[in-house]
Amino acid sequence: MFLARIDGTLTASRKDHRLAGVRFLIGQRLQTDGSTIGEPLVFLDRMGAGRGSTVLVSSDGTIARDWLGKGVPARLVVVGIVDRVGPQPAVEDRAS
Amino acid sequence: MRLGIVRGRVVLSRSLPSLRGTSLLLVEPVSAANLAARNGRGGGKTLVVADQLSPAAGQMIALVEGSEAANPYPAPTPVDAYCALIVNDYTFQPPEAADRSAAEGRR
Repeated sequence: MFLARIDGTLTASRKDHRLAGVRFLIGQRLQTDGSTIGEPLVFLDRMGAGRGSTVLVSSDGTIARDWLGKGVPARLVVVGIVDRVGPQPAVEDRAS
Repeated sequence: MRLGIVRGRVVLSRSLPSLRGTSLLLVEPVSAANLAARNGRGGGKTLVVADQLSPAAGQMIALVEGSEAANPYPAPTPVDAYCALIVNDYTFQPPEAADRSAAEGRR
């Protein structure tokens, strides 16, 4: 799983028939410092994420398969909308 | 899925039996800077994508990668990239700072 920022949407009238009715978002994968890395990615969404949202994306294709059927050619699905990302306590903080 | 521009097609003289009849596209993935600029350019490493939708040269597609790319084929197929859709239209407006760092990253 990884975090991504949603930067846009996409429409496609010609597509694999199993993707009919699916909402597509365009986003970019986020690094720890908030910068983006890699090429823009297309995610399948049914959580209503909007532009500017930070989302949790899973690349486990079984989610898409359970949702849209066995033969669906899809992998990246929005599985959560991020509220906040905070610091993880270091070892010494946990001891006290 | 990544986005890519169709640059051509690939025809094999010999292939594994499981690949026979599979249409293959030559596709150039699109970088963030080029997607934002809407300049028809790709910029990524060219790859070969299995296809059943027949997009024209210059059209933008979304391609699934990994084992899920073979999902549409009933029998096991050695395909790891598949054209899932042809893009009609898109919006892509990264915040300005990210836009700048993405552009710099590609140079």
